[in-house]
Amino acid sequence: MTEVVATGRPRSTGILAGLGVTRALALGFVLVCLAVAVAVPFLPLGEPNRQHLGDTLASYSAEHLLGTDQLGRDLLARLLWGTRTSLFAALTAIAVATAVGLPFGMLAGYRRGWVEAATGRVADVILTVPALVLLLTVHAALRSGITGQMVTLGVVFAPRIYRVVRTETVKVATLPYLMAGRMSGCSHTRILLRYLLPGIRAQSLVQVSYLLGLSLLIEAGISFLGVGVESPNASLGTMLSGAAAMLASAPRVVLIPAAVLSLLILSLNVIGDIESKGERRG
Amino acid sequence: MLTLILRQAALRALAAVPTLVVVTACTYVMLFAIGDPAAVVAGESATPQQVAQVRHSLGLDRPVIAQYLDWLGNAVRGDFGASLHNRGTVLDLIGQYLPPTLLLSFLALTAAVLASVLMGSAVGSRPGGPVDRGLGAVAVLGIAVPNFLVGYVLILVFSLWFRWFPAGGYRDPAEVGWATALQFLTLPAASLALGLMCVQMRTFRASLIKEYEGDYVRTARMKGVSPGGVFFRHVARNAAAPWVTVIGLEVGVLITGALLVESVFAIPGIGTLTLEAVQGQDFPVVQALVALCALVILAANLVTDLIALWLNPASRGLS
Repeated sequence: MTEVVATGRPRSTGILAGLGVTRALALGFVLVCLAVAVAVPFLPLGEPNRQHLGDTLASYSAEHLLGTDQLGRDLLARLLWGTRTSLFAALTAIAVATAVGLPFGMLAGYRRGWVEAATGRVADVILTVPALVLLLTVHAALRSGITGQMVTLGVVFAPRIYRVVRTETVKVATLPYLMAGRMSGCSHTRILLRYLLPGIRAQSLVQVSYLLGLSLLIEAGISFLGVGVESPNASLGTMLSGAAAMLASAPRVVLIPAAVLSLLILSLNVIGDIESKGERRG
Repeated sequence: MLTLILRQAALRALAAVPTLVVVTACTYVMLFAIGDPAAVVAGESATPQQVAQVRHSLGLDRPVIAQYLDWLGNAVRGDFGASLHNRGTVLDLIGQYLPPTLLLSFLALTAAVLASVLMGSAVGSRPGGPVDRGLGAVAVLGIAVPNFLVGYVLILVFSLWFRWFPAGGYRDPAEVGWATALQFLTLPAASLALGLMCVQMRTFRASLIKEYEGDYVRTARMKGVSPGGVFFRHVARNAAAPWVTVIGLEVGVLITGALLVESVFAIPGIGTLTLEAVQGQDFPVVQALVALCALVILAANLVTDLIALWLNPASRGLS
């Protein structure tokens, strides 16, 4: 059971074998989105929140390349700014999760004993409540805004990184090169940073890639429900909020942000999938 | 063997109690000590004196530990307090919103389980074929697309283009009959089931392939057991254990998904209640819902682990 939790969703064992192109495309798409997210303030775009109420749900045109939404806002500008908001939010969560999960996981796997028992119990408790429900609770109590919620999400995801790191550390800790390091008199700090960290990097990155996709999904979920990124600011989630009414007249307004969000999550899953296949030992 | 499973059940249930207490205690502190229920009840225009008065009359000026122990004592006896917004007792509210969610989750889970077994065994017995590769690609896609977006696509295709199903809403089967009720539930259940089905199919496929490599399969084949016999009597049973465990772990995903899907299809279920309670800062309702959610997840993990234990003779010991 622990093993299944540790790797998140089960990974394929051969479905994508040999599809090197797929992985390259996935990586390319994620990198393009990241580049756009960073560059978006410097791009010649319209104001994403300005409403043109005489020009709502306009179709594709030279002025609005992807048309406008139900309030006459430029869809392309909102899409790019929304991608930026969503990606940065997800990266915040992952940064916190790694900062908490990685050191505890390495320590637990390296020292074992009570450190592992104590941190493991805490991880079990955190994993009992689904992330979305916990974020809703935090919103009810604190009204903390999206940054606060993403930091909370990071804490909620920390056990998932912790478990992978711990499992990998236990595996690597018995390998001869680590023994050699210990016998040649390296300090514990040096062993952890220079010997262990490179050994567990690949599997940890796989988990990070998968969790980044999950963070995007959760940000979209809470923003869609109206308790995440605050309206009128664009995120991939807020763009979908209340969009059901638009499905009949202008499905484009829903389907374009939905496609970008799904492609991003798909790409991150594909990267995670194939890396784990390549790195799987035994 | 039955006594062994019962003993395991009792042990695991006992082990879950501290987890439940810690989860509810953390939520309680967050909602009632860091959040401010008195301010919510008193309203936005209340003076600090009025808020203090409300705080005293609700017993919220006592130490938070005493408050939590009171809550816990009442909760064990089935009393979760009353809504802060005069919506009646929390238990009545939950009872009122629970049936649509139960029905939706049951339909989605049943569909996902049946479909994943059928498709998983079809591709797992012959890995690498065109059907396997095709379904594999669909599965990767089905896991990536968030279920509320699947809901939008289903509405677009099946209710706006083909006009086969309504685009949202919920009808009580006791009032309008099952045929109409199911018509309203088909699209939401399908959007909820897709992601679950893909995860379960991949798990079942992977464990089938692993089991087919076992020595006992070669032995069974050599002594002349038919391919169907090998599958049903030997492989499928062993391969089911990890798949059952994954179903248990997916219950959390199911709860999250139901919340979002209910919002897309305007279904008055637990997800809707949660959202209303969160937006209205109705702390007793939120507290009870988190407790309920943790309880359901722990129970699901317990039940699926016991089924896995029953399926796998090796983990039963020699009894």
